[in-house]
Amino acid sequence: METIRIVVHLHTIAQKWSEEGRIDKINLEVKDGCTISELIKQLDIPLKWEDILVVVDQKTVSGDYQPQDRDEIHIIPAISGG
Amino acid sequence: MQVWRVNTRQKNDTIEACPQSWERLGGRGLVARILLDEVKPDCDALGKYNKLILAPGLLVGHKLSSCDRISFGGKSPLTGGVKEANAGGITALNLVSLGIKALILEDLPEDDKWFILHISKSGVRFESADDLIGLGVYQSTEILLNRYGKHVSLALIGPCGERQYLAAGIMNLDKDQNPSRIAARGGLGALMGSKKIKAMVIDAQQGEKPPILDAERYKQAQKTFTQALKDHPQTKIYHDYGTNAMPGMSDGFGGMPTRNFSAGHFEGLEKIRGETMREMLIERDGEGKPSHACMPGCIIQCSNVYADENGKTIVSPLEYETVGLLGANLGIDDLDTIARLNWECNDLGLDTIDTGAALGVAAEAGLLKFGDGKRALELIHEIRQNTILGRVLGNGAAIAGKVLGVTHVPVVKGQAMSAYEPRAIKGTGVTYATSPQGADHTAGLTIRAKVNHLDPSIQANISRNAQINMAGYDSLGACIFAGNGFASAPQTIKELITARYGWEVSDNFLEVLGKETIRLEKEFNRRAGFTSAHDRIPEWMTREPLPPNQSVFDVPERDLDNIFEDLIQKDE
Repeated sequence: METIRIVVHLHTIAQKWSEEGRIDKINLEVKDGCTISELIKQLDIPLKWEDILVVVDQKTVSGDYQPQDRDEIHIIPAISGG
Repeated sequence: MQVWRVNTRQKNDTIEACPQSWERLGGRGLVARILLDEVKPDCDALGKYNKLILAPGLLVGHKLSSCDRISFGGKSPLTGGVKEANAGGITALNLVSLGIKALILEDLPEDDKWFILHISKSGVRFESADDLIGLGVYQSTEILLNRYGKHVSLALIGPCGERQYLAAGIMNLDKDQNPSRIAARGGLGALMGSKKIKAMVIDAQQGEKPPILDAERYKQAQKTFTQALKDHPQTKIYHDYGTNAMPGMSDGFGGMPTRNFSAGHFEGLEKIRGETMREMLIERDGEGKPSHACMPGCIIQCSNVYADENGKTIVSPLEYETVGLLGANLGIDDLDTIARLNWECNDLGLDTIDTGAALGVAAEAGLLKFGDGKRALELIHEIRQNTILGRVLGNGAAIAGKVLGVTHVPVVKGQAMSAYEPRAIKGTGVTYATSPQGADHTAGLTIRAKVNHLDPSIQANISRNAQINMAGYDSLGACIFAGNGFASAPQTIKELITARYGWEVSDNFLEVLGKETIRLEKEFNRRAGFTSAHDRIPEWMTREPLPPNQSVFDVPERDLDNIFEDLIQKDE
């Protein structure tokens, strides 16, 4: 099966922690054709879909979006403003 | 509830019953109603006919989480139109404890003597402020708290308000007596300075909580709202990262104002974002706190205390808009420097948004190299020293642009944009353009919407809804983030209002309040001479593409012109 390489950027409470410290970026190899929804599930993001914004190339994408090779994907727990 | 009027020329006060037509308004909505009823829209904003209004929101008084905000208002010295700027802290709580629905400062002194207004159950007392003139906000606060006791609240101006700089705001104490909560926008500090009032000291020791008509119903609604707010995912984000959770999101959309709004991505993002700030504050320990409440009873606690590497406080709080305008917008990627710039602005009583935008304009004019924090601090010192350059910068971005010959000036109606690029977050651009307040993110942010922020055809509706909601929340005295609780439990707004006041209000009371507020504000601006020509984003932003999206602001002008068409109803 074909795979692609992507970079996932985790924001605020979607970030994870390891013994080495805060994890805000993950380099992943995923199967070609996987969707953002599947990716979110795989990463065990502790938020409902409606509470997350997923941004690729400065644009919001839907759960059906299929990442392309070398995509930089931002998983952003949504907030209203600052 | 009463209306207290203070005549700053005669040095006396009167207490009146609240007129019926004002009763069901509070905060921003009440400011708009009073302005329309009592202030000549074409008056000199720094002259005798303008009034400075303090109006707590309708829900203020019972430490309902994040719902004790104070609205300040008047004709804006900066925009020339309607102005409301609100702040957290304890000012509103104390005013309501004294039974004050609105405090209105009127007229203009005939001499140059400065005063403190002491406001208590005994009425209003004028006391000399001679010893405070020229002092910064922090030192003034220390003197005032020593003189009047730690139980009072304060609303005060710094040297920039005294000098009537158009970017001057009004500082308020937070619950820990730190003068950190600024009603920042639109030059209301200058309006207070025009009336020669250095500080308002509000002593509510003899005050009492406002009555609740149906205590059991209120308690139930409060419980439901509080739980909804606690359970909302945004509450945890704001608690942990504060408003500075935002840089990653705005930059992610290519909407982080960078180097005087010339780019939407900041290379130094990682060093200034909230995730880094939180980690840094925890590591530094000492006085720094990543979470802090500005109002008693707030469960969100989005404020913070920013400490240096020795754990000593530099400023509290350090917020996203400041990080955006005094950071990325100046090419500065060092949080300690941004915090020091923030402290200076607070001490001078200056809006960090308009000041940051003015420094960005100065950088484009060659007075500051982008990224040079030391020079940025020197320019702020020019403001403190009241040099000609300092006066130019302290009067905000619009004036700075005119004097320095810069056309890239990010303002609408003379007021600087906040830290959301309108070419990348176009719905917020619509808000900047069409809000009666001038460019102001708190008037209706749209970045949360799950939409294509670059599609010009859908932005007006999104902005309209956000603007109506925000005008409603501003009238309730609710923080924007309390809105998450109300959004999850919308029935609690009606329940809280009905339980407290005994009014029968509609299920959509928030919308009713918001629409009425905007209608009044638009009408004030119309009478002040504003037309659709004022509801525009600067022309250069419609022509010059913003990297990395290479987008321009292209929301059709008809969408801007029609956004509140249904609300317009002349109010003669």
